[in-house]
Amino acid sequence: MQSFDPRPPVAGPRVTLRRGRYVSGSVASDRIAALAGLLTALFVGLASYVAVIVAMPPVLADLDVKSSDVAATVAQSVAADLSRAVGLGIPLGAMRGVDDYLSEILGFAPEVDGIAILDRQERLLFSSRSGDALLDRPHARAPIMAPAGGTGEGEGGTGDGEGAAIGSVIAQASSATHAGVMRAIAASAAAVALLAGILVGLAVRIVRLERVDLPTVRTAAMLHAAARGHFVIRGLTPAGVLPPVADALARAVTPIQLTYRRIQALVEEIKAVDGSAAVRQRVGDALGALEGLRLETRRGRLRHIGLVWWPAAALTVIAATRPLIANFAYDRIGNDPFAEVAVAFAVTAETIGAILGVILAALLAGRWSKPATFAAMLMAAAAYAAVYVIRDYRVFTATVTFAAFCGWFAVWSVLATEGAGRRLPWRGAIVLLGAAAAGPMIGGLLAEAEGRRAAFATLGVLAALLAVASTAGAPRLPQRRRPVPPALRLSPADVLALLAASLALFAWADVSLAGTVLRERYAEMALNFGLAGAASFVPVLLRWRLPAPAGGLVAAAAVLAGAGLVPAAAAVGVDVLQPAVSVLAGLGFGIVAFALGARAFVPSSAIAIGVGGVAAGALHAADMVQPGAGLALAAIAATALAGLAVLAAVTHALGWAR
Amino acid sequence: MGRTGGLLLCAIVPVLAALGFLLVSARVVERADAGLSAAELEFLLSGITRTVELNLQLGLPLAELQQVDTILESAVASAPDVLAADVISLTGVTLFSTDRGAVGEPVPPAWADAAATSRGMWRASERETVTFGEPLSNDFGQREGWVAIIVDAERLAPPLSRMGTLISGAALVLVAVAAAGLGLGLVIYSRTNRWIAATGASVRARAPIEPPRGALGIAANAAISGMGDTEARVERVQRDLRRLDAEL
Repeated sequence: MQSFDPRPPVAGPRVTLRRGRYVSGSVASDRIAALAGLLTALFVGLASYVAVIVAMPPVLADLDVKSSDVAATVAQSVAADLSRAVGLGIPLGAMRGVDDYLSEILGFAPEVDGIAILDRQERLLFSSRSGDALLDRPHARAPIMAPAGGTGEGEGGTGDGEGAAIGSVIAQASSATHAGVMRAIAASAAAVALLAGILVGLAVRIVRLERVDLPTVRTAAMLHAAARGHFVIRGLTPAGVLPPVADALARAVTPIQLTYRRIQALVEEIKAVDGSAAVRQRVGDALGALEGLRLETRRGRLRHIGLVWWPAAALTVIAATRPLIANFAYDRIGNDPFAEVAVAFAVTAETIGAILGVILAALLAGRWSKPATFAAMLMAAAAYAAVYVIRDYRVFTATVTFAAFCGWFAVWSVLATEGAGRRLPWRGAIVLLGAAAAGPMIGGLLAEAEGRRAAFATLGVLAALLAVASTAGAPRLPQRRRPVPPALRLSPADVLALLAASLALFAWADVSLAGTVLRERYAEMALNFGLAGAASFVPVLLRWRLPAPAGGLVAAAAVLAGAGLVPAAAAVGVDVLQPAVSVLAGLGFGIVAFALGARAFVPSSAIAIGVGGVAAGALHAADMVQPGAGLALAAIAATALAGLAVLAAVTHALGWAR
Repeated sequence: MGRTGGLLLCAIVPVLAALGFLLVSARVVERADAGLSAAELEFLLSGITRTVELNLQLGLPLAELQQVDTILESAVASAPDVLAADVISLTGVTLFSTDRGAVGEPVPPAWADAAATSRGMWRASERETVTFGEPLSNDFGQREGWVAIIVDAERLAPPLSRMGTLISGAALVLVAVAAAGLGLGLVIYSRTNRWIAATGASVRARAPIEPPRGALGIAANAAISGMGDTEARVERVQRDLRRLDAEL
């Protein structure tokens, strides 16, 4: 925040600005941003739906044809095998082991749902599943031909010569591919709509914060100062939409300032003509009426810390890797029994790298900020791009850990600068919640569009561009290291609530969904991350100023319930619980972040959030013993932490804690 | 970012998002398409492999099998997407092929690398072709070589091959979403500056706004009132000093 004229104000009319309405918490700006985001999401969602209706049918029809081709190939292959067997003298209806053979074939061809073998009269001889079900649905068919020189007589053939059909094989194409494509497209549409809504909403809020809300406060303060005879704050007016008012004030004041200068000149002339005490006394009496006016004072210096977009954009790119890390680590060693340990190792190490980056940034706070930000972001970019060629999970883990260290250091070298965390609560919400919401959706959609490796490479390119942009967006002024003000220090209840919410959210989204449940289904991952991210804005928008432990409890309880209920519900075909848990986990995190306000925006908060991520990653190793144990343990631990947070808050409120 | 930037953002983000959705959808379909093609080819490859392995059960060395050419020819004839089918020795030399010129030649390095790094089925991509390979094992589980089928890369739904179709099909949707975004931007960014300009005009004219709008209007009215007082004080002082100057 800029520093105004430090001298004490003189007496004059004072109007107190309602901070809740006119600074970063402007209700009007919140509503406009939310409305813009909602309408954008609606437009994009509607456009996606219409595009699916209008443009997709021919494409999906091609896919169905391809599925039928696969089924036809399988049917032909089975028919050829059966023809050879018949050629060896085995009657079609008396073959043994056909069921096992069909099972083996289905194992080779998961794109086929079922195979049936019919005789010449279309009677069902063998089937991998209910033959009627196969016959009633669209299927591919291949004739079983009598071997060359055979008649097919014994098979119900007509004996009308070589190559007669003695039966047929029907194969039904699996609908899994079509269903999977539709599911991915629907999830992509929803995720893209959410992402567009969040991006536009955030952009509108940033614009209003930096160009309207803050300049309004400054200009109003300037006008009040002018009402008291102070015309010096013009030089501190920031860019934005308010300069017309500041310019108008400057023009209105100019004649008064000119008169004041003429008075000064006149005083000098009078003193030059007669410097007697009597004249001096009369001059002094006349000038007494001007006491308290400040009409000509040097202009103050505006402290420019850069707009909030750079750390928000950088953190968004870093957060975009969240859905990719767990499943990338898993796939490096495939079905190895230690795959879960590899996932735990990657998530934990990457988060530790992020924590170390924050700590180093907090220690250096501002020193060499510009070169350090540039170099660190560039190294993060190189590390992300390098993932494109990495095959070994250990190298992958080391690389993403290094990238997280560099990236978080770069971001926090900007955020830790003076003034970066004072515009409450939207600065924190935009950077922290905005990046956490938009980043994973971008990462998930990139992976869905171009594959995981290429997504990492793309994020590397984006990080490199941001490294270059940091020369404009990172703070320009040398910053000095200052202790965290008492008002920004976290209480034990705050820390415990942050730990509970972040542990629950990381365990649910980053580890369980990304590493296990939705492995390779990136659009659905993006949607779940996006739902959690969008929900985290709800407390900010609706002004739900609940205690931080309540947020921890909401997130932990949601994930605890989700750990038990979601698999059971999915088993009976209910899919809505998974996104519901994502929403509630994000909501809990949002409650904590909004309750903390500026305190969610200090390095210690970032470290607490990171520790939650480390715990979530480490606990996943329990999945090696029992699948799902990691999530259950994390949810239980998060609930316990939230309970401790409540206890700490109650203890503090009752004055028992010192 | 000013009004123009905000307007552009409101118009561009929905269009980019809709394009992004089409891109993701196109890739989802292309990957599914390529997956089905690959599954079909892999099934075909498995069939060839099983048939050759049945011949290996006779105990003859791979290079001396008589039926392999026929098996390969039959497989290629049954699948129009397959350009050629080969049987490769453990030393990386082509033993049998539907492309007679390849027999006796070492396999391309891409195939050798893919086969060396994979324990099961492998895939090697070259500029115009994609090769699927599967190891051949004898009854004792010992590897005898590989079967490979070569297909045209275009048959495997290359990236963005569907994008043009989808964009042309959804062109009107893109235009509509751009218009909607622009309209939204106009609504959001049109009102902001009007009252600021009105406030500025009132300050310039030193005419209070009645009733004042918001904190800025109240502050502007206070400033206008305060400036009047200040001006009166300054002019009074100027008059007093001029009178004094005249006396001197």
